[in-house]
Amino acid sequence: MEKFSKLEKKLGFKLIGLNIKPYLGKAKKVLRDKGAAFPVLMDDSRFARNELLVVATPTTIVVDGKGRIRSRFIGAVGDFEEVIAPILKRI
Amino acid sequence: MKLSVFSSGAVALLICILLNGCSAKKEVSSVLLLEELETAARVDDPAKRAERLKIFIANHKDHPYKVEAYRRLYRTLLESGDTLQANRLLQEAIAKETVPWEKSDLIYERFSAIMEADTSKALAYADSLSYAENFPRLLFYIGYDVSYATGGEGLAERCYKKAAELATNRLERAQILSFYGSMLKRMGRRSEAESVLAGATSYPTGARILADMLWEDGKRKRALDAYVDYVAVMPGARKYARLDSLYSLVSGNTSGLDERLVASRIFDDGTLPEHSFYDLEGRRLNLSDFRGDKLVIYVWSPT
Repeated sequence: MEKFSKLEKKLGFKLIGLNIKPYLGKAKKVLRDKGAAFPVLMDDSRFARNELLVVATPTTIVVDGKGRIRSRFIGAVGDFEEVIAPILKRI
Repeated sequence: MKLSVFSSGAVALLICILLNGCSAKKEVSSVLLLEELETAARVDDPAKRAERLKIFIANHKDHPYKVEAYRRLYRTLLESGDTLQANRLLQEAIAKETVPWEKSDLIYERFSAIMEADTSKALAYADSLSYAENFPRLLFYIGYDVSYATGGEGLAERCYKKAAELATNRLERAQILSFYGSMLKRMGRRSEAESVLAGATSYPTGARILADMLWEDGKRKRALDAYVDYVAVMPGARKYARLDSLYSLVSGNTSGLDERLVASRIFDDGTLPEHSFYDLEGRRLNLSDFRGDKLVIYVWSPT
């Protein structure tokens, strides 16, 4: 998570976290412990499942500047920069 | 006449104030509600906690965390040994619930508790659910849980098959088929597993199990394609899957592998719908606030 926010400026994207579980205290603790500094939204209406087709967490979704969903990863992304940078370049 | 105009204006203003006041009251942040629920659920003494949760449920009738409130109260009542009241509470909640996914979550909660207490009772309950219910997610979860119970494979198979038929989300279907195929492989029904898993390669587990099977069977070219599918959707598995060495073994070298992975990771899956959310502090944020930016949405759960 912290890796993500460090790369926002470098790669030119905005990062949003979307918490799909009804755990507020735990979410705050995880973010505080990891020093994550990006908006984290609470999905209280199954938006991720119904609109983003999320069936497992973590899922990482890449959206282009026109608002189109252009990539989706399920599970570990690994080296975030190595994986995301070529996608961001092409979309 | 003037008085009348004034009066009607004042009434309109009053109505407006009242309406705004009402709508402001209605617009209670769901995050504040969740905070209240979590505070109630943190009470150490189960009896006091149950009372706090009952008050929460009574005070807040229609909100996104209704199922979670019932779940926590149900678990608290079980913890305090009041199984009878716990079961009555959940049965009533299930009977009253009209939103399909909320009903489905409540039923699964009941099934899970029975499964923890008595496997044979849980299998009987699951058997009735497998015929009566039409929620793919519920059937999938139940199928997975019973697939590891002694004698549960037949029931699991029925749940998986029905769930896959009912699933409208293509990734959910691939996920269901992944676990169904995995069970078939475990049972030694390899050719059926291979055929089921062929429809599951957009989900990483399905792609990986299929790749492993094909590799074991000496079908290296097809196995490699499945490993590429696996790593395309789950890049962090590249090292674990030994993709580079397998690719080199089959294709002679790794030239073109990176490009193939990048190309298969880019597609057009439609427009991101507009939606409004609360952040962790209860502030409203809209996806449209980010319009024009390239976005990475990290969907997670703090568990």
